Amino acid sequence: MVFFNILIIIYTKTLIFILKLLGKKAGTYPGRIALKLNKNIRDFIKIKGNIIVVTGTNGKTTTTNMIYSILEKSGYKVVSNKEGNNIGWGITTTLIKNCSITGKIKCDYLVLETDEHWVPIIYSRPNMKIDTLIILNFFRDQLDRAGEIETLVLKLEKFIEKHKCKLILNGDDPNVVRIGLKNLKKNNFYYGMSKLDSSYEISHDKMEGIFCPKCKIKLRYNYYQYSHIGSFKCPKCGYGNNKLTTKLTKIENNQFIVNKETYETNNANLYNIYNLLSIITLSKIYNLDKNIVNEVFKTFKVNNGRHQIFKINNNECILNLGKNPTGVNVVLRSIKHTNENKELLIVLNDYVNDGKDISWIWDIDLKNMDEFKRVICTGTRAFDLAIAIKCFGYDTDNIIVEENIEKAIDIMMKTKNKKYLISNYSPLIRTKEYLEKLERGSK
Amino acid sequence: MNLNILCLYPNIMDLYGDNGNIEILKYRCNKRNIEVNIDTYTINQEEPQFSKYDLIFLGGGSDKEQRVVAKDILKYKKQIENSIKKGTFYLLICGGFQLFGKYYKDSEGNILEGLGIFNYYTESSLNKQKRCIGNIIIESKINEETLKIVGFENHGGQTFDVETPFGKVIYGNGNKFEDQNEGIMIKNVIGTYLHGPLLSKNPELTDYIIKYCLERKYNKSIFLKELDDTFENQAKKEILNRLLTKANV
Repeated sequence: MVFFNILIIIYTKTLIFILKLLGKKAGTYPGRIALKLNKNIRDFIKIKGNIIVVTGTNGKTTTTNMIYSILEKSGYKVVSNKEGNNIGWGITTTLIKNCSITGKIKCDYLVLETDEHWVPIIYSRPNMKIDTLIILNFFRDQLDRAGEIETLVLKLEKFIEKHKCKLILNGDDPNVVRIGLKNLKKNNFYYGMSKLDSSYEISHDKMEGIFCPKCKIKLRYNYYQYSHIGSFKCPKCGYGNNKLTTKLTKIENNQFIVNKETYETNNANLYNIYNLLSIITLSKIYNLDKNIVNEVFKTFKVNNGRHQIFKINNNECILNLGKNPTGVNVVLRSIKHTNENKELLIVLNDYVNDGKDISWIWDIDLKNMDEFKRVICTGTRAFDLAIAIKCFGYDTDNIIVEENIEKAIDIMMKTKNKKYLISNYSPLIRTKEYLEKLERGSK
Repeated sequence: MNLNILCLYPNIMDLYGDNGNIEILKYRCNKRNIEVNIDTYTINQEEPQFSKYDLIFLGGGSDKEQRVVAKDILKYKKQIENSIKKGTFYLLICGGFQLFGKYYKDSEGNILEGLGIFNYYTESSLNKQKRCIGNIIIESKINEETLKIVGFENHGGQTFDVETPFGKVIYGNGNKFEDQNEGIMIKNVIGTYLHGPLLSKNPELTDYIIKYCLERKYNKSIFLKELDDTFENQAKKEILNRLLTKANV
């Protein structure tokens, strides 16, 4: 068996090499083949190094990439699935790519972004014991593929009960806080924010996890930061009243204060700062240098369509990923109320990895879109998008529907207005690559 | 003219964008100068006067949320029954549809008593992965006219013994795995598994509901002005083309 596994590893490594030569990404396919040859191939991998896992609905890829940068700049040897191939096949690819032919991975840290549903599957094995698990948030996402949030939380609770580890938890998300109840108390590290100028008292988003997991009664919120993220408490048992290890007290422009220390970021969106809080918590656990952490916060850039900026014919275009109501709401809120002539393009596909059900678009806060000169709808479900935007009160005359993404972008480029683009999962790369092409052409 | 709508438990039973149905009703009414008043009722609020409303809406939720709602709604069984008799229109999606039957057995085997307004009952498989999921097309008789209705189904519960279904399944599952029938319909009640939201791509159905409510309320025949349904028709065509060529119907 050992010999056979070695053969699989050599074969898979060769496959990765050839695919790379051919200019392919080789992110999931090699792992898929390896698992076909031996479905337990991951058991053969022996890891020397701390395993850090990042999971949650929104922000995994960005958070994982920042942690990678910080650890690398701190002089550690780090292995990671930075491209975001975060389910079984992709993680297997990452492991095999980085192991010796006898299956050994020698590093200081293995940082793995992992799809929420795959955490129990991958890390229940003795050779994959997690040292620290970061849980960012749980929002509605791709429901038809993923099942309901409740099912997911139960799965993770069961997993943690058996496989205790250090947990870095978003203390302002009631669905996430729950998981900590199943862990050793001293190993839970919560992060969160105190009341800010932007906090509000009545929710205007669709809500998840509004009931106390113990008493089943409605949680009471002192204030919300965004969506169901905020300061909450069960009026009966006090659930939610956690001591925060990492507490943000102030955000001013691009600076923010955490536990009396000042940090700076190049993306001061609230959801991004929440990700940064999880990283600050991690940096305290592993004694990482605050200056390195701050440097990465200040300069970090991912060219993967998350807040990516393009200059096309002297026009600024900003592309963001939005694959669920909360994600899109956060982006919309950050681009509204700016005093500029602007237009919006939304790409909506319904392929398997997007979730075939697109009814979540009706949970987006699509009211008050009048400040956009035009809204262009594209992707395989462009017309569904147009119906929603129309019914929430936007002027039909300013809605343009063009299912072909490149053609839609061409239409958008015809005006001088500032451009904002939001794409869901599967068309993101295609959108990004076309914008990059236009950017190169306009220079 | 005006229309009074009551949304039941909108903060709890609102999976899969179903509250969009209300936005669509509002939009199509406002375009015709019909005023829409929307009230909501949820747990711990004062008892609503069911018969006062022209249209009552109930969406779906997760098993946990459904348990909470089932307990509360049973208090109003009489009032709901009465208002149906008097002709108030009920639009029930997914979990709402299930709660109007005799009982609902969830994926953990718990039995939730339903309102028992209708004789059907629903049972979930204990295997949580076993769900009817996907785009669906049904054919339904609305105003003596046979219409294709499109939506998206996503349910673990299998509903048995529906006497008067909402439609015949052309593509997809329906009330049970590979069923012929979908939902329930009587003159003033539609219960269905169709999300999408249901009314988003089916403007004729939306107008049927509006017309029914107004004619009942004002006791005269109502003519609804035609609206520009280009987006709706295109979106529907897209789904019909995609699925019906696939199924070779």
